[in-house]
Amino acid sequence: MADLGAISLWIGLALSCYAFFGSVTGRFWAIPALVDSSRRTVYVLSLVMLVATLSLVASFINRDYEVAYVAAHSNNAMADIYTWVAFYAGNEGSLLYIAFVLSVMSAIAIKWAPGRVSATLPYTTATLMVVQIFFIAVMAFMANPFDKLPFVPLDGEGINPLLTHFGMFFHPPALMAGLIGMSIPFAFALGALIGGQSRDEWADSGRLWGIITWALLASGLLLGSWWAYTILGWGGFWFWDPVENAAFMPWLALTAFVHSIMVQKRRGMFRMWNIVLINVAFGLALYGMFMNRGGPVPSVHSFGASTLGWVFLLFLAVGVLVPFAIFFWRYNLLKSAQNLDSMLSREAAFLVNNLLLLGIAFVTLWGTVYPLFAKLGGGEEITIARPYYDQVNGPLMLALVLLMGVGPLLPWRRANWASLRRALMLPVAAAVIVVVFLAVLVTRQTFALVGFGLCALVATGIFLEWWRGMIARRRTSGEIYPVALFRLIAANRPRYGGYIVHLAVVMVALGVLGGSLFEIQRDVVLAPGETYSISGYELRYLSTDQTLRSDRTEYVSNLELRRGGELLENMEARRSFYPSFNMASTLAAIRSTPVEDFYVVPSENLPDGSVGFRILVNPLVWWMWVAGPVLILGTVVSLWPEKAREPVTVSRTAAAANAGGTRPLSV
Amino acid sequence: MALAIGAIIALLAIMVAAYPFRRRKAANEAGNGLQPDDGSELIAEHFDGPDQLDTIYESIRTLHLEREIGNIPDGLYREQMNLYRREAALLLRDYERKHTGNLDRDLDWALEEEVKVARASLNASAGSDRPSSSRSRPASMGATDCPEGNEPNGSSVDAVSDSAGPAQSSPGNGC
Repeated sequence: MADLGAISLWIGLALSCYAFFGSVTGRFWAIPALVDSSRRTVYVLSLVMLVATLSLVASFINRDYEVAYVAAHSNNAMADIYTWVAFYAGNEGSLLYIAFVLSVMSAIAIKWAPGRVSATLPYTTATLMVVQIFFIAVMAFMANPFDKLPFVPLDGEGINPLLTHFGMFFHPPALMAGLIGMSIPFAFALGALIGGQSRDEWADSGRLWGIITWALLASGLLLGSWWAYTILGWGGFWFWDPVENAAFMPWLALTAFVHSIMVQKRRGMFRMWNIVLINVAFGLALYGMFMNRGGPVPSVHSFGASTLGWVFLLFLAVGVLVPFAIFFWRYNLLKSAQNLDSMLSREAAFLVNNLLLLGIAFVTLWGTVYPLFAKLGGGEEITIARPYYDQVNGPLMLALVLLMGVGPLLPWRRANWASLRRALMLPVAAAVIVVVFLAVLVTRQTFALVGFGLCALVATGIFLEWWRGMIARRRTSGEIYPVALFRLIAANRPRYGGYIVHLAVVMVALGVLGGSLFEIQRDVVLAPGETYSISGYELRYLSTDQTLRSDRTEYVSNLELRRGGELLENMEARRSFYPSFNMASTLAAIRSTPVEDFYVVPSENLPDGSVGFRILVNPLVWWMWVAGPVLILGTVVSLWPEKAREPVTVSRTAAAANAGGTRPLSV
Repeated sequence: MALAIGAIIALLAIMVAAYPFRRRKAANEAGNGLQPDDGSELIAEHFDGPDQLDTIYESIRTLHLEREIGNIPDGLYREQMNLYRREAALLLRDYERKHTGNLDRDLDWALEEEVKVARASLNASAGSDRPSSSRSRPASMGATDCPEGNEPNGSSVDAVSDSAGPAQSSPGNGC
C-alpha cells in the first residue's frame, strides 16, 4: 500500500502542475478546452489524494513498520481507534492530510463556483494549484510519509501519549483544515484580482468559504482549549503559546473578513479592504503553518523534529509578497461603488469591528515575534506571557464585545440616535442590573463587572431582536409563537445565524472571564483517607489503583467529592507514565456544571501511597465548551442555502403583448 | 501490484484531462461547432445584473425587517427604500438594454401608446384637455411603483428620472 501511496503523490504532483499551467495558459490564450481540462483535472486530483490518504491509513491499520512514518507514530499496543490520530500525528502525515483536504475543498469550490466568477475561475484554480503543488512537492522531495526503512522493526515507537485523547480526533484536523481552507476565499479574491474583475463577483464565494473556514478554525481552537484543559494538567485552557497564537491570529483576521465581506456584498464598499484582509488572513495562516513546522519556538502543539522551517518561511514570504504585488498592480480597479453614508450605520460598525480585530491580531503577533527579534538582536532571551496579553488585548476584546451588542442594532446605510437609544434601552438596563447585582453580591473587580455587563448587554440585545422579530411576524401572519420564530429565522438565515454565533461568542466570553478572573487553585498532597476542603467542597482521597499496561504504567486515583456532607460524585483522576517516551500524561477528573467546574488532577504519585493533587474551582468554564456546538449551529443556519426564487411570468396588457409577448422577469 | 494500480490511476487521469479536447474535436468533425458545455462558459464574462438585483432585494427585505422590529424609524425607512428602488431601476434599465435589444424599444412604444390611451380616457372623463406625454415610464417601475401603497410620488419619480430621461408626474393615486 505504501508504494501505491508514493505513486499517488507523484501523480498528484503532475496533475496539480498540469491544472496550474492549463488554467493559466487556457485563460490567457482563450482555449476553453484547456481550461475545462484543467478544471476536470482538479476533480481527479482529489481522488488521487484520497488514494494516497487511504494508502497511509491502510499502512497504519496493517502496522506496516517498513514505512518509517508508521513505525515512528504507532506500535502494537496502540488501539486501532487511534489510527486516525496517528495519521496526522507527525509532520509528514499532517502534510498529506492538508494536501488531501485542500484537493477536496478545491474540487468542491471549483465545481460549485457561481457563474459570475466563471471568467476568473481559471486564475482561482491556478492559485489553488500553486498551494497544492507546494504541499505535494514538500512531501515528495522532503518529507515523504511513504519513505521506507532499510529494515522492518518488530514494533513501532508508538503514538505520542498526549494525543490519545478524544479531542485529538477533531482538534488538529479542524485546525489544519481551517488554516489550509483559507486558501479558498484567498484564491477567489486573487483570481478576481488577476482577472481584472472590478466589482463584487467574488464576494459570495469569498463569504461562503470564509465562513466555512472560520467555523473550522473556531471549532479547532475551542477543541484545542478543551484538550489542553483536560489533559495537560495545569488547569487552564489558553497559554498564549506562540503556536496557539499562530492559529488564533488568522482566525481574528478571518473574523474581520467575514464581517466586512458582507459590506462589499450589500453595498459594494470595502473592496480594497477585503482584499487586504484576506491577504493578511492567508499570510497569517501560512505563518501558523511555519510556526508549527520547524518554526523558531518549540511548543507542545508543534512538530518538534521538523526541519522544514526554511521551506515554509520561503513560502510564507512568497505568499505574502506576491498577492500584495498583485493588489498594487490592480489597485485602480478596486474603487468602492458607494461611500459610507454615516458613521452611525452597520457599515461603520463593521469597520470599527475590523480595526479592533486587527488590533488584537497585531498585539498578539507582536507578543509572539518580539522575543525572536530580541534574541536575534543579541539581547537577553525574554518571554512574553499572559500579563502582557491580558493588559493589552483585554480592553480591546471588551470593546469588541460592546460593538457586538451595538452593531446588530444599527441598520444599513444610516441610523439615528433616537432609534439607537430606543433599541439599546433594554439591553443597557439588563447590563446595569447584572453589574449592580455582581457588585453587591460577588465582586468589585472593574474588568469583571464591565465584562459581565457587556455580556448581558449583547445577550439581551440578541434575545430582544428575536422577540421583536417573532412578535412582528406573528402580527402580520398570525402564526403561533414557535412557528413565527422558526420562520423568522428561516427567512433571514444569515442574520439570525450570525446572532446564534454571537451568542456562542458571549458564552466563550463568560467562560474566559470566569476561568481567568475567579479561578481558585491549590496544590496539595493527600494520603489515602485524607480530606481537603476548598470553596465549600470536600474532596476525600480514597486510594490509587496501579495497572501495568503494555506501553505505560497507569495510576488511577479514586476520589469522593462532597458538598455540605452530601455526596456529589465519585471521581477518577488518571496519571500514566510512558517509559518509551519518558513522559507522564494526565487526565483530569472534572465535575462540570454551568456555575463552576471542580477540577482535580494528580501531579505526582509518591512511594508512600500519597498523591500530589492540583485542585481548581473554575467558575463558568462549562459555557466555553457548550459554545462549540452553538457556534456550529449558528454557522450552519447562516450558510443553509435558501430556496431559489422562481422567475415570475408577468403578462403584459394587450398592447404590450402585441408588441413583445410575455416574458419572465426574475425580479 | 501497486505499479499496476498506479498506472490505471494515471491512465484514468489522462483520459479525464483529454476528454474536453476529444469532445471538441468530435464536435468539429460533426460540424456542430461549440457545444453549450464545451468549457467556453468558463472563460466568458458574466453579466451580474440579476445578482445585483438579488442583493437589492435582500437589502429591501432586511430594511423591512428592521422597520418591523423597530430598529429604524419610518422617515429613514422611506428614504432608504427610495434609494434601493433607484438602484433597482438603474439595474433593470441596464438589464433590459443588455438582454432585449430592439424589444426594449418595442416595449417602450407599446407602453407609450397604452399611457396615451389611458390619459386620453382620463382627460375625457375630467372634461379637460391635457397634453400627452412624449416619454413614458419603464414597465418595471409601472408594475412595482409604491409597493407600500402610500408613498408620495416625488421619490419614485426621482428614481426614474436618471434612467428614463426627464421625469413626468403621472396621474392616478398619488404615486
